[in-house]
Amino acid sequence: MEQNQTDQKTILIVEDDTFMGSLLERKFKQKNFQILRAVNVDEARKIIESSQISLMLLDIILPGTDGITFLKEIKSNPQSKSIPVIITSNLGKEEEIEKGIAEGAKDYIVKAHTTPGEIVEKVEKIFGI
Amino acid sequence: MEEEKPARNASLSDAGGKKLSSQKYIWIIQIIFAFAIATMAFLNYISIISGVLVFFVLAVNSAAFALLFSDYKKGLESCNVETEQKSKKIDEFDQITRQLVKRELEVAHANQRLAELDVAKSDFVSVAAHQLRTPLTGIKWSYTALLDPETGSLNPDQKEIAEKGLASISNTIDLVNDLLNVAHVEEGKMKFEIKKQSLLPIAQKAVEGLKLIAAEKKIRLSAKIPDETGFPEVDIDAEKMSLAITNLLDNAVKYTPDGGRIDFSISQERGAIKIVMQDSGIGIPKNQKDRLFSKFFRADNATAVQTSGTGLGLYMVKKIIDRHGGKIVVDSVEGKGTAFIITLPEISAKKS
Repeated sequence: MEQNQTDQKTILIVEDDTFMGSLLERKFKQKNFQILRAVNVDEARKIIESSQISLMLLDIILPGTDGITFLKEIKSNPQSKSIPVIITSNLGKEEEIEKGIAEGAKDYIVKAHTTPGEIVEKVEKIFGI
Repeated sequence: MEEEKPARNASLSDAGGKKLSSQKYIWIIQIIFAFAIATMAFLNYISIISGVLVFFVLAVNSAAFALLFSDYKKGLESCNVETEQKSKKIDEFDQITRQLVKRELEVAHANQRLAELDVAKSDFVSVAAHQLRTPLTGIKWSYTALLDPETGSLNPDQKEIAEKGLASISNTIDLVNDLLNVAHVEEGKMKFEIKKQSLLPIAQKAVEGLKLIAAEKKIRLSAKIPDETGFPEVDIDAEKMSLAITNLLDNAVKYTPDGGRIDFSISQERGAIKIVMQDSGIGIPKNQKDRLFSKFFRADNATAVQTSGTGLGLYMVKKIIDRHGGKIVVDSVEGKGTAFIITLPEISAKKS
């Protein structure tokens, strides 16, 4: 079921690999999500301050500040702590996953083990779509 | 004559009177002299005696002193020896302490170095995971996008090529995962969180996870998992045990021809939990069975069926079972099938 224009969700994709970011964006747009993209934490921080974000897909290995540090920052800020965050990373060790979840991520997706379509499905499930 | 005599005597007596008084002086002088000599002698004697006495006293004293001194000296010497020994001991102690401190520093340094190496190794797995998976993900997602009916419309030939590309890249990702898992196990970083729990739901989940791909090959996957009530619990790490069972089931599906059969069962047997995975697959050549759990080993007939594979799956499974204090054995007939049997020590009967 596709979303109506009125309850359109805005997804912030924080991904430094622009090709993968564009593939994700394409897939989300097919399902009528609004997409904002950032290639690093500084850009993501500015977007969060200026826009209403429904959910964020966050990579860990990013140029400059890493995703986990940014996740901590988001979760300790009353203004942004309610934004659901799904970590999308190619780091997949048990402790890395545990750490991500412990810091408040709603889910942890190892990109190589999934497809953009499956990521969209997970997000839809979170919104009850 | 007689007259003369008195005269003589008289003269004599005159002379005698003079003689007498001079003799008297002589005697007096002699006596005085003798007395002086006697006095001197006496004094000398006294002084000699006193000298002797003094000498004697001095000698005794000296001896006493000498004795005392020698005792003192001995005491001093023994004291010196003792002090020397003590100082030697202190030196030794010092040296040992210094050695200990040195060793401790060396150990601390070595530990730090090991910790650094551990981090480096751990980082290696993370870095390798990221660096290898990222381009593979890009390729995988490209094929996925090409095959997505909402993105592109490929003709049947193009679609087939893209599907093969996607299958290859998915295989490569699996291989990378195997390599990373083993590197992770080898570096001792694969944490085992062993706790007393039931194996049954873990096994059930693993079987469910494989049902879809078994169905795709029309393989009948049946599972005999007993009721949890009263079934003994085991000390296991749920995630690792699931990884081991999934790996074995995945192998069974991979090496069982279409339309084959896989029987999975769990039972309780003589103080142990027994997991059996029996397939009707290609089996393992008799002469290669003992190398089955070796790192990178792949049986000849396995490489003929599946060209891809690292030969790390069973190696990892064995490591996991070993860490649980369990055993894994294989029973196989080439061309007929294989059974992997795992035994795990049971803990206690679960309260109903």
